Amino acid sequence: MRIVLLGTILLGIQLAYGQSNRHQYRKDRYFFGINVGTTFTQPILRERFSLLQATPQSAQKDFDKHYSHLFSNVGGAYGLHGSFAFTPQFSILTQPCFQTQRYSYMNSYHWSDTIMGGEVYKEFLHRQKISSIRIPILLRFDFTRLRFSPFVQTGISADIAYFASKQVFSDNYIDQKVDRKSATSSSVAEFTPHLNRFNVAVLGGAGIAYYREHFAVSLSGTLSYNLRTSINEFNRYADYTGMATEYLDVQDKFNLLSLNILVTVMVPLHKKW
Amino acid sequence: MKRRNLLWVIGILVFFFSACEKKDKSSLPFVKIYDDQNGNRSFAPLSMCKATLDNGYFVLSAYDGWRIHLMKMDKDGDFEWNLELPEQYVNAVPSLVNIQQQLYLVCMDPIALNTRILRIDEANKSVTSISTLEEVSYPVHAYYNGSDLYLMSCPLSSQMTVIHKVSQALDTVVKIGALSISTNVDDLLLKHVMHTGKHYPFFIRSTPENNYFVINAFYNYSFSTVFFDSDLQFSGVYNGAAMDGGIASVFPLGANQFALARVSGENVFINPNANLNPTAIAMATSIEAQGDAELDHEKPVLIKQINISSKPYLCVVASGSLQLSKSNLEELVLQ
Repeated sequence: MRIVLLGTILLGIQLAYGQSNRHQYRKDRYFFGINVGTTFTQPILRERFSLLQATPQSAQKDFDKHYSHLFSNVGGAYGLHGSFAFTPQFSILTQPCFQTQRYSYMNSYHWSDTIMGGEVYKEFLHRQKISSIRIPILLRFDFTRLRFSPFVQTGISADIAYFASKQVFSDNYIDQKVDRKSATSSSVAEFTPHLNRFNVAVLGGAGIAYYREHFAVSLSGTLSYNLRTSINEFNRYADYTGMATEYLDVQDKFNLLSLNILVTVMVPLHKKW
Repeated sequence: MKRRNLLWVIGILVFFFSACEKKDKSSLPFVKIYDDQNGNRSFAPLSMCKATLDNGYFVLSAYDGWRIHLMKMDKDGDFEWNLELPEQYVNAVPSLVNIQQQLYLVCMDPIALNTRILRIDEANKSVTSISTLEEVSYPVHAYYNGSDLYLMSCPLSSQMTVIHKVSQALDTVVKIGALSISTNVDDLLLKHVMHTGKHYPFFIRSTPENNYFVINAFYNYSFSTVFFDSDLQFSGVYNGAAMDGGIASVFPLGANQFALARVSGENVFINPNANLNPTAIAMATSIEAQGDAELDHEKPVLIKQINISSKPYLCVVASGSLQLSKSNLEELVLQ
């Protein structure tokens, strides 16, 4: 069985290599297509803010939020692709898309009931979702002129957030874990007015493309870093969600780092129509 | 052609990067809640003022009845330090006083029932008692008009409201003016100072011309707004409706014009430019004002002058009624 599997893999590699050895002419061609993929997001913290301030009389020394890591914040993206190859290896492209970025964090509070006795523990999981339109401009360099061609790309994009929402889950144990199935949840509140609606991101990534005469497919991973902070500083405490009052929640100052994994299907058009 | 393309690219890049962060964020709005592990402790806010050594703020509040809590925070509202004053100091009046760039608070000795003036030492994060005024009992307000400190007191069982002018050294009373209440208000006064009942808007203000003092105090079976002349002699009064109505806040504008908020029944009425006669004897309800049924008549009303883009505005801050607006957000009315 292992020998059959190994043989299949070797055959596949041989076929792919055989195909990739063929020269694929790309210069002066336009490519149009569609893309779909996954977005992983991580806030890069610049300054912490908290509505609740620790004092010497507090049970906790701080009320810092604990952010979840990049690969636990999964969103999606889908959109269009358009590119033009100046040379067989250099091309300029744009991939306007709708994308959803998610990020979440946890925090907790603890108070004592000195009249009835006992302790009050509250732990919260805050989940945010930002939907935006991304309009990037990228320069791509293909390492080969063959059908299978790895590439790197870099550029900038304009991100326009059009909707954001937020939901809070809570339980009564401080254990760094809130089970969304059993926790008490808030309603979903619109979070859009708290955002800087327009943002600029720098992009960089790599991928691999497969070119045929009548179509092309690529798989790319692109890191993007938003140059503007995501939260509007003048509206930080405005409490449009109602969650500052209810959950003592206020957003930190951060920039969003995202990793977009996109599959793109393209069709080529010759410059000379 | 290529140069034109290059200019386009540079133009697009300039547009993109001009949208990026600018660094001037010197005075951003904030909301802060200062935590205490004791979930049953409650604080009654009394006064807030700017610090003199930096751009921070001091907040004076009462806890456990009439115990005194003083807190310092920075310009962004972040906590710096706090003090729970010893039990020998209670009943802080709701006004932190800045006298020649030095902050003071006025409070009471719970045993001797006389008044203490404490100096706030911002550098050493402490308070020091600088004087005891034996003749001033149950202080309810302090006011510094730029040259002299005035205290209002309401001694138990005296049925009197007394205004005291304090010496420059802040250690003796140099002049007094008195009002007869003609009825016993001990119960109301004790609930006021212990924060267990109705909290009365006692205040002393002076007109810009310094020819009159406007005093909100118990007077003649009511809680009223009394005019004193500069020699602390009675001049006129706008009577409240017994102990439940009257003027809640006043901002003297000069030339007998006043911005004011008054309470009648369960409604708050506001007039940003009312003409009051300092020698009149009238009812506060006779002052024309616009009512706002959504404001909470039991909560304090503040009238402050603020500058927005170098233009002066009067700002009336009141609390929304919980029953009507389903929120307790403060309402801002700008003139």
